[in-house]
Amino acid sequence: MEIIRLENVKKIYQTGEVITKAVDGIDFTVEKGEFALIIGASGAGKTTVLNILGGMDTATSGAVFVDGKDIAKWNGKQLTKYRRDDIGFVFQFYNLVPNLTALENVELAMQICEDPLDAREVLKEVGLGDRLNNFPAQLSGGEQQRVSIARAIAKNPKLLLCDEPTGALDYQTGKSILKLLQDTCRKKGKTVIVITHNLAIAPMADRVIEIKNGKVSKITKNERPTPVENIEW
Amino acid sequence: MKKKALYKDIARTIRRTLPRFLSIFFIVALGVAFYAGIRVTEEDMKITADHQFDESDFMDIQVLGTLGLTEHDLDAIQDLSGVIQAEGAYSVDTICQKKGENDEYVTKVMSAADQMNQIEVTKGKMPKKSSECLADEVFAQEHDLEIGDTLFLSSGAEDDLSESLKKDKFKITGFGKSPAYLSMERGSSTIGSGSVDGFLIVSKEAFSMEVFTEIYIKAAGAEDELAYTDSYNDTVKKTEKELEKIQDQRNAVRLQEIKDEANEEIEKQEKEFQQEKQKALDELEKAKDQLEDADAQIKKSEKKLEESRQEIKDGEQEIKKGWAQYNNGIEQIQAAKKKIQSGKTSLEEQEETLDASEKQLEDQEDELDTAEKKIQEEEGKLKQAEQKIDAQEESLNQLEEQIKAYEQSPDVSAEQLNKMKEQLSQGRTAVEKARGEISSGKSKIEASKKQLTGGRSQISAAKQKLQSGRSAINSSKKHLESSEAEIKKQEGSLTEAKQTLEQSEKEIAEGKAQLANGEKQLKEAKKEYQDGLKEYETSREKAMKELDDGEKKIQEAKEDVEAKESGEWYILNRRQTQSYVEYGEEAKRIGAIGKVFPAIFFLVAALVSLTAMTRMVEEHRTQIGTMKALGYSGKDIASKYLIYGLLATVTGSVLGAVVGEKALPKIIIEAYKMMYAGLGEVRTPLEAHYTLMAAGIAIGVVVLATLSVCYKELREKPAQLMRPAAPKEGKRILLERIGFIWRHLSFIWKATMRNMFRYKKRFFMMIFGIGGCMSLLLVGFGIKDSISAISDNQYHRIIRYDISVGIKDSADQQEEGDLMNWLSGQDGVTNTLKVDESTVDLEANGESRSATLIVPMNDKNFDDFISLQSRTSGEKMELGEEGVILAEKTASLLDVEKGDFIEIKEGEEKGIKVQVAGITENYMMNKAYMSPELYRKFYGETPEATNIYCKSDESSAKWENTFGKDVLEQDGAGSVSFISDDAQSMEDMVGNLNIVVFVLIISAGLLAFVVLYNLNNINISERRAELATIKVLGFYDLEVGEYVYRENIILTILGIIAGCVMGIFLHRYVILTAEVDLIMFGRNIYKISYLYSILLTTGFAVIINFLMYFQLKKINMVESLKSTE
Repeated sequence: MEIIRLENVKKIYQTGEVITKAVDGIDFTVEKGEFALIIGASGAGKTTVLNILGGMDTATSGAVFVDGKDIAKWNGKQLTKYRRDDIGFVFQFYNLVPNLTALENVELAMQICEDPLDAREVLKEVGLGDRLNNFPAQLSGGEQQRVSIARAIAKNPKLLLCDEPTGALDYQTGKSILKLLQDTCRKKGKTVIVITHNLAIAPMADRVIEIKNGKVSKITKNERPTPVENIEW
Repeated sequence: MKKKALYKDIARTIRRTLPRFLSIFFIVALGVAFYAGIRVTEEDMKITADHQFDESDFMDIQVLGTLGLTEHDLDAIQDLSGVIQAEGAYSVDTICQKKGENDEYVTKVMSAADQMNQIEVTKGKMPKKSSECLADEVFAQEHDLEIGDTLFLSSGAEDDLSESLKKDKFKITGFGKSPAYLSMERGSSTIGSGSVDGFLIVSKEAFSMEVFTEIYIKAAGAEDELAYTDSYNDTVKKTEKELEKIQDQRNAVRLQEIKDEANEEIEKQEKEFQQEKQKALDELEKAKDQLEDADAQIKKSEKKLEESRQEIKDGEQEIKKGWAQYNNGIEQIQAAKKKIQSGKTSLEEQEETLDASEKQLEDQEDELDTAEKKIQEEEGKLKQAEQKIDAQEESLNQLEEQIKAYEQSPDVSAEQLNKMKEQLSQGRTAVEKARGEISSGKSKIEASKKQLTGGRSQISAAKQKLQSGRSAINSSKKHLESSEAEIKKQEGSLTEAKQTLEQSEKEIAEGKAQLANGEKQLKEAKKEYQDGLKEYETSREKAMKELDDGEKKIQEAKEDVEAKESGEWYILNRRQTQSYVEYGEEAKRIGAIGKVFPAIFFLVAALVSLTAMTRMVEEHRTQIGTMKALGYSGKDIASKYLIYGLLATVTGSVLGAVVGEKALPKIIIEAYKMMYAGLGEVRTPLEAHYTLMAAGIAIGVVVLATLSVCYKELREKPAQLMRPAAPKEGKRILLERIGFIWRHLSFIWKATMRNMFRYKKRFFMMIFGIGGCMSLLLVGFGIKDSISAISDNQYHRIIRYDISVGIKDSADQQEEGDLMNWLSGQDGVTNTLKVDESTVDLEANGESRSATLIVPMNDKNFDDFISLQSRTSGEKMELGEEGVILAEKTASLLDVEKGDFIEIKEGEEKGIKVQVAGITENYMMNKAYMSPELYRKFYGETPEATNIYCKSDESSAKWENTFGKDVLEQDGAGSVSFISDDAQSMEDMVGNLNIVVFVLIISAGLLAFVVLYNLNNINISERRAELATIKVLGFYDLEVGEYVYRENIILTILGIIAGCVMGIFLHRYVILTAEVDLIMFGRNIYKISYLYSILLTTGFAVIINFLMYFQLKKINMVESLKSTE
């Protein structure tokens, strides 16, 4: 079942006389429960697409159907509700609230959710069962990203959007984070969309969307994705 | 090149971070404006006033002489080295009425001075003629006077107005203000309602006084000094000392002058009096003589009248008698007439009988006659014969006679004789013979005759009888006739008598009328005399009394002159001018406020700019690292931020100083001008002193802050710098250790708490900012409260009487009693109490204060008039024998407490030591209260009443005006003061402070605004990523807001609490600083002021937070999260 459909989505910035087409007519779909990768070089427009998809940004034109609804037509408040109920975000730099412990960071997200998961449970699942009361500053990068993922998962969203989740992490940690994401997708049946510039991990995804200069250059559907442990890069 | 790039960079940085630059600029401007502005206000107030004084040549010293001041005094004063100018002047308090109106005002009429105390004419022109005047501008406005209006003046006292002014009618030629009256207050007076409503300026010529009432003096060197300063006071003091030195001598001279003058006058008067006396006595004498004359005249007239009355009476009697006689006569006549009538009738009857008898007789006679005739014939014959014989005989007899005669006569011859004798003898013989014949014829006849004769004799008898009857009748008739004649005669005389009587009667009637008239006249004359006498008596008495009085007066005058004491000079400097002092105190108060508020403001401003600079340097961390990596020196890098900070600070300081020093004092002084209408143009010179100080502090703080931050950053390696600063670590806060509270907090509150404490600098800045705002407001309202408390408490709660009537020093027991009775009898006066108010010196602990000692004559109901109570506990106190009760401020000035001893001194005498039995709440003046018993114990005599306190249930100004006038007309009353007037002037002062409060509210608002805005900005920018994250997480805008607001709310609450504490202390500080010796401000801030302050602070916070909401909304998630990409 198709959960996401982008139709001719464009994002054009205009600064003075300079017109920048960050996204220049993108179309793609993602099936429910899929692990999708959006791959492209820096500045290709992949983050913009993700932001639009996550309701953090709006498209200049085009339609973005999520679960059958065109979010491109929504106003700020509807988008906020959309983010709140349907989206889990994982950022490259984790974006944890430094003032809150791991548990509290998760709880912060759950505060506003209708049907959240148990925070401790989720943290245990991401392997931080014994670091619940640590502040972000007391955690390593990988651990922080795990908290970040836990925060996203705990909201029990429809979509899990990850922007370069391993960008600031070392190889091993990155790998384990990707595994965590893949597991989440597989075990919990969440639709996960990950942005990366690392083509090497493409085999682990169900669907790979390559973006170049604001346009989709190639969509590959992977019938048999490789578990991330088996991928080396 | 390098520098150019740097400047370019700075310019760009400013442009990019304009809000920050402006916030530093404005907060510094604000801080400097308030710091310099309010601090300079005190000085500007003084400068403004000083300028006004100098421009109008306001005197430094005024000398008042109780005996007046002469030209000689003026000369003597002018000769003093400390006096550069002196001018004599006149003034008198009068009652003034506008033509055609009934309202009476008390006006002080002053002579226009040539050199000093120049009147600023605001409209019209100065009076030229002695019937013109210039009116007080304020007074004129208040009572709708116009130029050209005519004012009627009267003295309002016993003396006549003409003793001081030549005219009593003045035409207004203009309006103006006098430097002697800065405020609306015009001072007190002993006439009319007791307080002066306004002044009038007239020419010197309009005064009729011989001596000056005052001399205005300019002290040497005083003009160069600023009024109100110590150096000014010291300069004037020198001149005062000189004046004090000559005053005794001058007064002695003046006394002698007056004595001489008075004695001369008395002598003149006495002489005059003696003359008058003589004249009066003479006149009396004359009057007396006149009266006596009149009396004699009256007596004479009376006698005369009596006589004429007697005469009349006699006449009347005579007339009466005459009438009686007349009547009698008439009656007699009547009777006689009747008798005559009856006589006539009987006579007629008799005549008739006689006539009948006669007829009978005649018949008989006829018979007889016939008989007789026969006889007679015979007889005739005989008779003839006889006759012949008789004739012969006769001739014979004749012959014989002749013979006899011849015989005797010799002439006849004897022959003849013989012949004759023969003839005779022959004749005889013939005769004898004839005879014989006859005899025989006769005898025959005889016989017939006998018969006849018998008849005849019968008839004859009858006839005789008839005859006798007839003759009787005839005689009767004759008699009657004569009687009748007589009667007639008598009747005639009677008629005459009647006429006479009637005439007399008429005369008497006239006489009587005359008499009546005379009597009337006499009566009138008598009355006149009586009146005259009475008049004489009274005028005599009066004259005597007058003379007596006059003598007594002269005596008294003599005694008075003898007893005349040397006069006194009152050497008054400006500080004895009420409005001058009040204004000085206002300035001082502003000064005290200026010491505190601007400091807070400035501190906050410094902190804000410091935070902003810190934040900026921190934000530029990467850039600094880059620059450093590029090889720029630390100095170059730091200079950018220094220049940035300096630019904002210096320009802000300049703007702040100029605006602050120009605008703030202007606003405040202009506001004061509402009450101090006498002030001229407001002067607000820029004071380099304050400008430099304020700017210096501001620049110093910013430079230091910038340097310290730069130093911190520059110490780090470029590589570290180029990485973002690690976000501040989350830390457990103290609260978390208090498990039971922490556990009960919801998650979001826990986060809030931690956030709050995470940024400590911000935390304190917020509390300081909000607390500053709160405390500013609190102090602003508190100052107003404290001053309101004076009138609220002093005039409504402590002083409970409404009117104080001063008893005249000279009043005797009688007058005092009358006054008391009069007061008690007045409508509206509900209660009265006599008290003794005297000025004493209180000493303790080496401190001495002048205070009013109040001793009630009767301490029973004293609480109804003055409430003695502790301020803190509210406990009531009563006057007793254990000691005096001191006013709170007095006690604190003397540093005494309950139970301590103080010394009460009156003049130079040795004082009494008395225990302090209690300390009572009191806000105005130093006071000590003593019971009459204690007074007797110490002084051995009953206190003497000087004032009467009255309670009244009337409070309208009209009633007070009438009452004031009436009471001053009482002999015993010397002055009257209404508590409402004092309360009013106090309330006016509170009104003045509204502007200060307003300024404080505005500045508190600005402070709150700038600080909160700044801090919130910093907060948002620091936590941009965090806020973006929670936005991404799906927090609604409002929830994002709440996330921040929660902290702000708590910080605001904490700030308000801190502000309350700071405010209370600041308020206390300001109040104590601004307080003068004679006044105690309320120590407490009213609850409502807390409420207002809290509401306003909260209001400001709400506004700021509301504005922040839009900033939060504007946070761009994509941009915010991208920054670290």
